[in-house]
Amino acid sequence: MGQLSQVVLDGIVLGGFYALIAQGLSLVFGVMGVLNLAHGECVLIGAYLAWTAQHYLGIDPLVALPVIMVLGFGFGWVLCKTLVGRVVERPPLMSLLLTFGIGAVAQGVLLRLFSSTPRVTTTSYSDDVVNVFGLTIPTPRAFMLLGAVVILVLTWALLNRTRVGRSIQAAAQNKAAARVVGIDIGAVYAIAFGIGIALVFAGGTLLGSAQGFYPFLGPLLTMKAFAIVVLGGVGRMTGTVLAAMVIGLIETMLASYVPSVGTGLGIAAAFILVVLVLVVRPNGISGGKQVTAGV
Amino acid sequence: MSSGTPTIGTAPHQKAADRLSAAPARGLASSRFADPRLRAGLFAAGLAALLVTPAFGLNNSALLLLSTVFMWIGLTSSWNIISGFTGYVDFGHGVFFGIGGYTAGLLVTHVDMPFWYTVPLAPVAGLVFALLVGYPLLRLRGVYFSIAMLGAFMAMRELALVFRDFTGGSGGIIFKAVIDRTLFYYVFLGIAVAVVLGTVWLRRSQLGSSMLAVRENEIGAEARGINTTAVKLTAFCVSGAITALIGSLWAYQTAFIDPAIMFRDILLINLALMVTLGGLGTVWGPALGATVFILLRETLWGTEGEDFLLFFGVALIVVVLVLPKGIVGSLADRAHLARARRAGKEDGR
Amino acid sequence: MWGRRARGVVAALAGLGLLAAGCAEPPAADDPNGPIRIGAAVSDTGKYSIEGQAVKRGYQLWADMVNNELGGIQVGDRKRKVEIVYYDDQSDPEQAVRLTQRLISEDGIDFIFGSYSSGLTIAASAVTEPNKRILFAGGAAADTVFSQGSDYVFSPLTNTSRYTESALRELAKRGVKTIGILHTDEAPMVDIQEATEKLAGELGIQVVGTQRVPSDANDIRGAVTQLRQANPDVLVEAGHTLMGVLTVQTMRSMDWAPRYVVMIQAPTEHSFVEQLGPAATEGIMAPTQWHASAQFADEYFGTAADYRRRYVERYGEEPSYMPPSGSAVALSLQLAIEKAGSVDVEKVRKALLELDVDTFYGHIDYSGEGHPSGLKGANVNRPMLTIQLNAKGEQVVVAPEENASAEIVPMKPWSQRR
Repeated sequence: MGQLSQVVLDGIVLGGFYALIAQGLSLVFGVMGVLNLAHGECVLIGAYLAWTAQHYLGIDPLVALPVIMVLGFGFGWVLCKTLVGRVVERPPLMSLLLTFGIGAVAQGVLLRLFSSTPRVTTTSYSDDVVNVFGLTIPTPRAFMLLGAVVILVLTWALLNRTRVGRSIQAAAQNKAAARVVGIDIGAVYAIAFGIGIALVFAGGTLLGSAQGFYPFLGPLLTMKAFAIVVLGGVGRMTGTVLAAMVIGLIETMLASYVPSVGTGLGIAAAFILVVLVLVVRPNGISGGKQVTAGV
Repeated sequence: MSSGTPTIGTAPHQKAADRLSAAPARGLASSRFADPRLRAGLFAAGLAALLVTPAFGLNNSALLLLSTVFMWIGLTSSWNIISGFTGYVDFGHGVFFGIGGYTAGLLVTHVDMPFWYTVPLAPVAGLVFALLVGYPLLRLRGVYFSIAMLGAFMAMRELALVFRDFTGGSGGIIFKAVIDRTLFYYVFLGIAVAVVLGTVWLRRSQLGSSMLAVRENEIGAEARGINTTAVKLTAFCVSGAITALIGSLWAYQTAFIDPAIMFRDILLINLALMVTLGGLGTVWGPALGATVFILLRETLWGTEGEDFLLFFGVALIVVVLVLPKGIVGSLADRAHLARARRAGKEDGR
Repeated sequence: MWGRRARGVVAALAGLGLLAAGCAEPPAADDPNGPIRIGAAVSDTGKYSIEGQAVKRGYQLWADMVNNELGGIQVGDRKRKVEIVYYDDQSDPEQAVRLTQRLISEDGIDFIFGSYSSGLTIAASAVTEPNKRILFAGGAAADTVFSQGSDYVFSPLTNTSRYTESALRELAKRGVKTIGILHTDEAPMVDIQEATEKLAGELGIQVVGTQRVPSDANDIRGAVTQLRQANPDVLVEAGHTLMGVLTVQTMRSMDWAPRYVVMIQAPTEHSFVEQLGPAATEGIMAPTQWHASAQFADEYFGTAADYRRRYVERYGEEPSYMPPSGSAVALSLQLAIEKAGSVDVEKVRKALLELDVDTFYGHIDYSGEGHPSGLKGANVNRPMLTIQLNAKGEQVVVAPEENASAEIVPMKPWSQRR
């Protein structure tokens, strides 16, 4: 029993992180119809930024977090204005290929700058543990969950309680109508992409002090985020969070209860779940919007 | 050279080159090379040249290079059937390559079957997998299908690693291969020619037209009575089966396979890059893209340790932004424009 | 429209033909007055670039030593310089095979230095073997490389099956009863796991848990939890550097410190201590192919310490075990050519099999046909060193006994560190 609750807690922590990066993917996809195949690499850029700040300047990742998110927004904005924005209205293949290429470049650059040696951001609380009702969470992981929750709440408020947020929502629902009411759709795209990347940079920052990372980790993260978005339904934050928790829990359960090989089944399990869900409910767990966006 | 060309009428294959512009399938003018005898003659001459090439004392290295080109022509052209013709871009197509290789590997090690007996079974395995996965996934549209296939690819790699007792896991499978470069030159040449000719045929057939209809407007195609599920599945199965066949041959020739080798990411990147470079959805684009790519890689790489990830990534971005229709698609556009200008009065709207 | 396409295809074919014609030149025969040419298809870029470049440095350090200090290899009555032709296989097996074929058929090279991974090496050996060229696997140690019955593959590295041997024998003397194994799913790591289980059985140590994780796993809490419940005296971790770092972090976060911890690769990399800090890594042991403090020596590179000095001078950083492995495999080629007095492949191969020498890398004695281990071309009698990290993060050799400079110390609990 004690072990089960520990496994569940671990799953929730993992799910919190997944929710954060999946929300970034979902936002960009919902608004622009662009599935960012460089998503995982963006998480890594955030992680490497935090690592660099800590390693060379001695700045704690949590202190650097707001700055890194601003950098993420800027990076996403520029990326959208220079590259991704040019293919938004083209057939979806073009944006897939483009972001695929961006991912490869990011991987190459990270490899060159940081080599394939795995890194982890060491902080003053790296070795500490938080006790919750007799269960333990390493402090960096506790911060990962806490940070994810705070950032997701703020994102929700931004999208639902501000003018910018409402413009983004309007654009996601109906581009033509949004144009008619005078929304600069290009600017909305850039802002949405910027927010999306800011979220994943934050995810990377939090991840980096909780576990090791290296330049080839990207596609794995992209896949996880994608599986969550499909399960949760595009553009539905509650659905995304729910699906992230499901994936996080499945992963920790498999790892803890399937002897010898459980840890190796993360992607396969997530993928099989996605296929099953799609067979039963082609629109994702929470239904709603058609899974045909972007075509 | 193409000035003063008489217009001969409509040839359905012309639309292939225009797939991304989504041009209506209306009467397009044609060039003098539309003469089928001339075309066939050129093709036959090229083929004959390639058939006799090994007799001119080519060393094994050159034969391997050429057979690699042919292999990639087979891969790109088969990928093009699902991704280019029906518009369901398969970003995890390497999964079939791996399945082909593992089918051969498992049959050789577990059943002690001679390698060549396994060759016909590899495409069958690819076909079965395509049916199982394609049925649910092809109900998804566009990017969902693309990345779900990437998931299938990664999941199969994971499974091949985990089920060690069956697949050998990371220890891999070692073939006692007879490495005969001349033999594989002809094998891959045969496959490349068959796939390309098959594509030419497909493009003109009713089935091919249905695939294009699915790509342009699936709901409309359905409304016109096309069984879109069957069309998509057929394209997917054909495409997957050919790739599995090539995968099994490559595995044998490489003498060693493991999950990281058979299900490797670079295969996906190369496929996307080659086909986009040549022209997605065109008949000849994938073959051209593969040829250009491999020859460039051969001449530019090898000695210098430049970072290929960076290079490929940048190349892909540039191709998407500058040459989105690929070499063949862009050339076709220019020809089409020129012709439209010339023939505007008699043929135009 | 069709015409342009057709012309494009024809032009491409013509290009191919031209290229092929270029390739058709017969490879240059060996020029007895020129340098001895050696080929090397190594991973300069891609997944194995770090390891590939490290091995490549080892090759180059040897070539520079031969050319600049010895004036060449003594072949019969004359000295011949060496020239290494490098290709980058991009860590891609397709390219590894292609470039090996190119070295053989176009460059006409008889001696080939291999890449890092065992998979790439096996793929390359499938090309070198039928062509009767010698492949020096300077970066591959998996038993499968040498159990294929290949007559032309050689490597001075100790095989993966013996990695944990010296550590376990030493620990068995200290009365350990149980062992747990955490390993990644890569081929060499699985070899190590199987060999360790077998050896534990021979030594009367009970294997109480084995966990396999994917090499790219980033969360291994589940696997470590399962091992912790089995509570072994010794934990053996077999994985690359990331897995070592991750394992330490995970154990620390669970406040679990087994009495002894042996990790396969991470502790031998300087980045391991850099990342985790000496407090966290203290007491962790690791097998290593080579260490600068080892009492090895030869007349070319001098002692192991001399080799380290040479490397640091040239590259400005500490060598891991990989560059010395590259240099050692190259040195064995040099010794074999000198012994054979010829660069003829068969004569050199025979000399390699007869080789029985001490070097800065330890003893080199390649196994031949009919060796009881079933391995051919492997350096089967060379033991593996075991190091332990001390409180300053330095590596101290603790096993085997005759090479040890200190005793094994049990791990401290996490709470007593810092």
